[in-house]
Amino acid sequence: MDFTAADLPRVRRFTVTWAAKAGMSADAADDFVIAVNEIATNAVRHGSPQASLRLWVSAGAGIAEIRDSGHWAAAVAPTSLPRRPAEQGGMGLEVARLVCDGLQIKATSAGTAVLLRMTLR
Amino acid sequence: MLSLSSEQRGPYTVVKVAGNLDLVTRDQFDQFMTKVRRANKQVIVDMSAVTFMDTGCLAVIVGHWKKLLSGSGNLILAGAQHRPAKALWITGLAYRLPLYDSVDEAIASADAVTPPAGTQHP
Repeated sequence: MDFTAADLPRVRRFTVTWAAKAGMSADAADDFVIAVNEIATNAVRHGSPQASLRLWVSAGAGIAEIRDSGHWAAAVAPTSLPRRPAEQGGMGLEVARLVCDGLQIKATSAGTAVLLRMTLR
Repeated sequence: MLSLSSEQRGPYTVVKVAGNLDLVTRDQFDQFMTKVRRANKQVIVDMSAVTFMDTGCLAVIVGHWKKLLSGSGNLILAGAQHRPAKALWITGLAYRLPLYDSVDEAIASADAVTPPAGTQHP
């Protein structure tokens, strides 16, 4: 699905419904939704006003791909950015990394794609 | 969709938050909290009706908490539910921010630690 910032509630509903159908446990689905929401937020806030979400199952895991057509610093150089105090934000990527079983960032000249992986039960 | 209201409970302004705290509602939430913080230094945020919270709005809360602390005020979270407000626990901020199960408990504990005006020792 394509989305803008205003669609974030719809992104979460779409993800939670998909996760249940895919057979993800309720706990894992909660975490997956949190991660998708954080990356989707970064995409429309720092990448491009419009972004897209794709969900599929691969090798016993739920995969989410969030793609935008911009460049956000945290995605381009995730480890080179200094840690900031919590009130300055920027916790989204770290939270997504913590709750998912895998996170992969593909930053190219065409934009940024983040892949999230959550193992199915 | 976010609904915000505030009421006075003794020395505290209790902010009732109902709905989603995300990128869509962040500015609305931040502006409301700024107004509340400028009017009173003792703030309780009732999170019991929050349906979702992202890390951006959590950052807003931390920002107001720190500003209140630096002005010898405080911000207390009440009634945060684990499922919708899980970002609190994932980030570890649940262990730094003052957190109570309910507004009543927050007021009871805050009463116990905050001496009434005029009796405070230097």
